[in-house]
Amino acid sequence: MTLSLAGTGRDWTDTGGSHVKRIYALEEFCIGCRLCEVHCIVAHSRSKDLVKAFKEENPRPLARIKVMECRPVTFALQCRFCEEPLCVQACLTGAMHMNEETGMVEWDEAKCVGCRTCVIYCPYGAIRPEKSQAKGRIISKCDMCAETGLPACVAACPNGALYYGEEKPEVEL
Amino acid sequence: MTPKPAPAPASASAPGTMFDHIIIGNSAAGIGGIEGIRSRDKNGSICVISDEPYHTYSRTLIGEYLSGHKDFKDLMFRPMDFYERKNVTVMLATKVTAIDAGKKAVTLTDGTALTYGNLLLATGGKPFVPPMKGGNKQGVLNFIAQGDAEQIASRLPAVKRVVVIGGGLIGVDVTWALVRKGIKVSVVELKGRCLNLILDKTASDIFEARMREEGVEIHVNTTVKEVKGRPGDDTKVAGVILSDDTFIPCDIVVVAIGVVPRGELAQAAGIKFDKGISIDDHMKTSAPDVYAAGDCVEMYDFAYEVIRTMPVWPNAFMGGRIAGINMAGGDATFPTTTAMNSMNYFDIDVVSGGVVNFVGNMDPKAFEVLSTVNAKDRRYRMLTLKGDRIVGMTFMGEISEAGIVYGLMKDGIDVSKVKGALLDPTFSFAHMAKDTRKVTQKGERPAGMGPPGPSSASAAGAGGARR
Repeated sequence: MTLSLAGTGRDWTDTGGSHVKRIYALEEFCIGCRLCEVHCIVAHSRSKDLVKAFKEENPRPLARIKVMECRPVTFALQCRFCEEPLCVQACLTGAMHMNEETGMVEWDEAKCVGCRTCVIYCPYGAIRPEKSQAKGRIISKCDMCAETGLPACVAACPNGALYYGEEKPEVEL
Repeated sequence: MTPKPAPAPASASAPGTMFDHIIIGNSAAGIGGIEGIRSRDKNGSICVISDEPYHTYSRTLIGEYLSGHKDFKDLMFRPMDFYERKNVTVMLATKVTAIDAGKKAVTLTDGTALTYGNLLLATGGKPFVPPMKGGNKQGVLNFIAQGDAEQIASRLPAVKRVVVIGGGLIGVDVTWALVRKGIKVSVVELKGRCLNLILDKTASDIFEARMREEGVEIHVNTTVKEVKGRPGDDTKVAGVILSDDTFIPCDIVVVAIGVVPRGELAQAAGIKFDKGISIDDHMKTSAPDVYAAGDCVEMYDFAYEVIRTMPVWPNAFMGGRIAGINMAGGDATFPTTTAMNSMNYFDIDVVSGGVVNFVGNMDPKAFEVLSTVNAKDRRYRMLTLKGDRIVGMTFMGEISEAGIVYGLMKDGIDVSKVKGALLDPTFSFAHMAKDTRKVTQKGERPAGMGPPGPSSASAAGAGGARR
């Protein structure tokens, strides 16, 4: 299967793999523009509209992807959907759980008390502490844009630095 | 010490008395055990026995119950149909009175004997209550389980003032719950400051200032020498007398000094026990086919480099899960750990773990401490380094990056080249060497996280994540 990545003209061949698809960061191509963070926020906003999400929604959702930066190195990271997720094993309430059918790590807002235990047990720093108006302390983490099927960060990346597939492609420069 | 001879189970072959797996305890380690077993063995019979009457719930949330922010159903750790889905026989409000490790049987209060293929001791901890004059009065309570929270809650309508003995995690938890109910709380702490085991002085000072802001009275370097009864009814609490003879009036006293392992069953069965039940890196005890996990065990703390009890929820769940996998015929190793805490009491996010204080005969010169503090905004970041590795950490206020730092600490990653950036709020994997960054792109972090234990060759061999 050949995936065409938005805006780049660069094609990656999906080499197939074991189980769930993941989003892979290709730091060789990341320019650190943080458009992935912007589009993650829009995708998880109420309005799904860029201007409204940033100008009108309060509180604005946190980006569930984070650009890690120490120039010249930049790359974007989000939930790795571990097969043995420490966030699930550490969760005090049962809010963080693995969907037994899909293998996806999911999070139940109603069960979450925002204790932050998953935040410290995620060795990738991919779970963000958040506050919601309704619930107070909660967390946020990547849901792989389950609603649409194509993660917004991947679709928005202007230089093909995010790849959505079962295995990380080999990059030759 | 050899197992005591016991009469043969009268009905060992009766239906419903033989199980492939028996688990004593229905909290974090017990549930981890069920899920560990079922990850490999879908059909083996499992029996869970608990002396509590409840469906599995999270003890870490009893403060939220007491404060009125959660109902009991919100405390439930797994869905109502969990036991059915996992095909588990559950015996609630049932006590095990003895283990016969030779006959591989446990005896219940009513004399019933159940035999096991494998046994998991997930018996947890019990409150540590020092002898105290007047300590047997009504209204002298504990705070580690739902039953305790219910007892306190039922008395609250008649309670205006509470003395909490112990300024550690449990004491702060119950204090925060009571403060939110509008109750005046006095905390009595034997050492010089609250949370002295899990925070350093800088962090404790910030935290105590916040507690006082909410009206909490803190008495340090002292203890309760007597609980005084009421003039008309000596069985009820009127107040406490501290070692310096200060009298604090109160309606109830909560003894929140800490938990000690519940090891009586194991000890009576001749199972090796020191500070807690002794286990190997597969969670096996000294008795054949008997495993243990959770607050009842002692484990190697890679940060303090000692064997001790580390009664925190994630250690219990993860230990139970590893035990379960091994009970079902797997070969899983528990990575060495330390006591990591995340707290949100008094509206401050704090995460802390590993070496944060130099205790006993630890030589402070063997460590390097990096820290940055903004007490006004209640922000603090502190790292303890030993050589090239992080061995302790505290993040207060802003904790988003704490997971990355804890990951580096557990994996024993050399941070000598990024020392200057560790306190930077933007510190991330981008600061690390390419090999370490690569870890973030694997689907799975390599197995065997954590440095090797004191004598565990298998743990050292599995240290794939260490560079």
